[in-house]
Amino acid sequence: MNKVNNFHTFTSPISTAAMKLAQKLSQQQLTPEKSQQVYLNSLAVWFVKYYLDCIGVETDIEQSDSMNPAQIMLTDVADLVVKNLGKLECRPVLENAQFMYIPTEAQSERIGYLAVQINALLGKAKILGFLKEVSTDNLPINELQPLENLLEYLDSLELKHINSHKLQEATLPKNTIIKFKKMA
Amino acid sequence: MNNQLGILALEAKQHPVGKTERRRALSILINSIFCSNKLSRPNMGLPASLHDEIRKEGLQNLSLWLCHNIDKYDNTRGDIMAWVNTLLIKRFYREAARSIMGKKNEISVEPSFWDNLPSHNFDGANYEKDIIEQFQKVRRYIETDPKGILKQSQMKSNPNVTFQKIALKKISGASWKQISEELCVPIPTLSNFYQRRLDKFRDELKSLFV
Repeated sequence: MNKVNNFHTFTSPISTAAMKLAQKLSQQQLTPEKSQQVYLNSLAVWFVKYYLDCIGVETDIEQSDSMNPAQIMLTDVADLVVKNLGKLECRPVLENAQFMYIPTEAQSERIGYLAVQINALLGKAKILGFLKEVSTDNLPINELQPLENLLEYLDSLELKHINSHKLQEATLPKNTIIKFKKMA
Repeated sequence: MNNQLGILALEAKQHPVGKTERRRALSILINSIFCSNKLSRPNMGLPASLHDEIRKEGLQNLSLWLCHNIDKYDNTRGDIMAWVNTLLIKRFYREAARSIMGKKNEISVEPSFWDNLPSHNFDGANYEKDIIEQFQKVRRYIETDPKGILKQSQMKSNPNVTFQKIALKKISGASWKQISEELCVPIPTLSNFYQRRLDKFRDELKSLFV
């Protein structure tokens, strides 16, 4: 079967429940600036989680700093743990933004970065694209790779994870046998 | 258009769960459905804002369901959008309406939000209940520094700059640029110091929630 369409972005409504959670988290903050940051970060993370849930990529929101109250208050993070693979940073951007802002605290220990355009008024969001690495605080949106590349990248990471797992399994019994031999 | 959506559904079905080709086809399928303007908009006779809430909830649950049940799509039984719209009206709008209208008086997020997400073991209701208190604990801890360790955590090159000072600015949402200007320390020095100390205090902060 021929491939249909190109796949660059992903658009969908933001669920009301995700909106309410984001509001709840943001209402507890001390200033309007911090509230806005927490609100958008939460929406971006839950939107990416929803997308990954759709396509069957397992995430672990509980292990993500973006759900940890201390980290929410003390840093500007929007991370989402992908099971066995590492953290994806889900940076919110507003409509017509030319740059994606990545604070220094979100520039390490990440397997990749996604830009999530949030339109809270219309209640919808769009994943604009992805990058494996960033080396600047403000990344031009037009330097993002199509979302399609994220899927191939996740696939390669999953393969790497499975192989390293197999390698461990393959080496463990051998060692055990050697031990037994020595003992005998 | 509908034919193309049908092709995408078949393409997704053809590949096993977890394969990139399947994920790719599902991504394009869901994205195309939302951009198609072919989703039903039944008149439920409700106020616009309530209708909108129900619609969004229903659509998101529908798309999750579709992705995990795409193998149930049978192209011999007709057009894919007819199938999708039937599911939407007969099941997902109704479920969303029940969950949203039934809980209109409660402040917390509908349990369906947590329930409908596949493969999670996250206790959303409890998380919400505790989060307000936890935010307050963090704030109080940073402000009062009961063990004195946040004040003692000073920058070597500039002892006036302590972890506590930066943390208080961070919880107020100040940007690195603002903090850097106020404390006259370059951003990389500042954020490196802060990040290292924050990692050190991670367990201490966690213990606030036990």
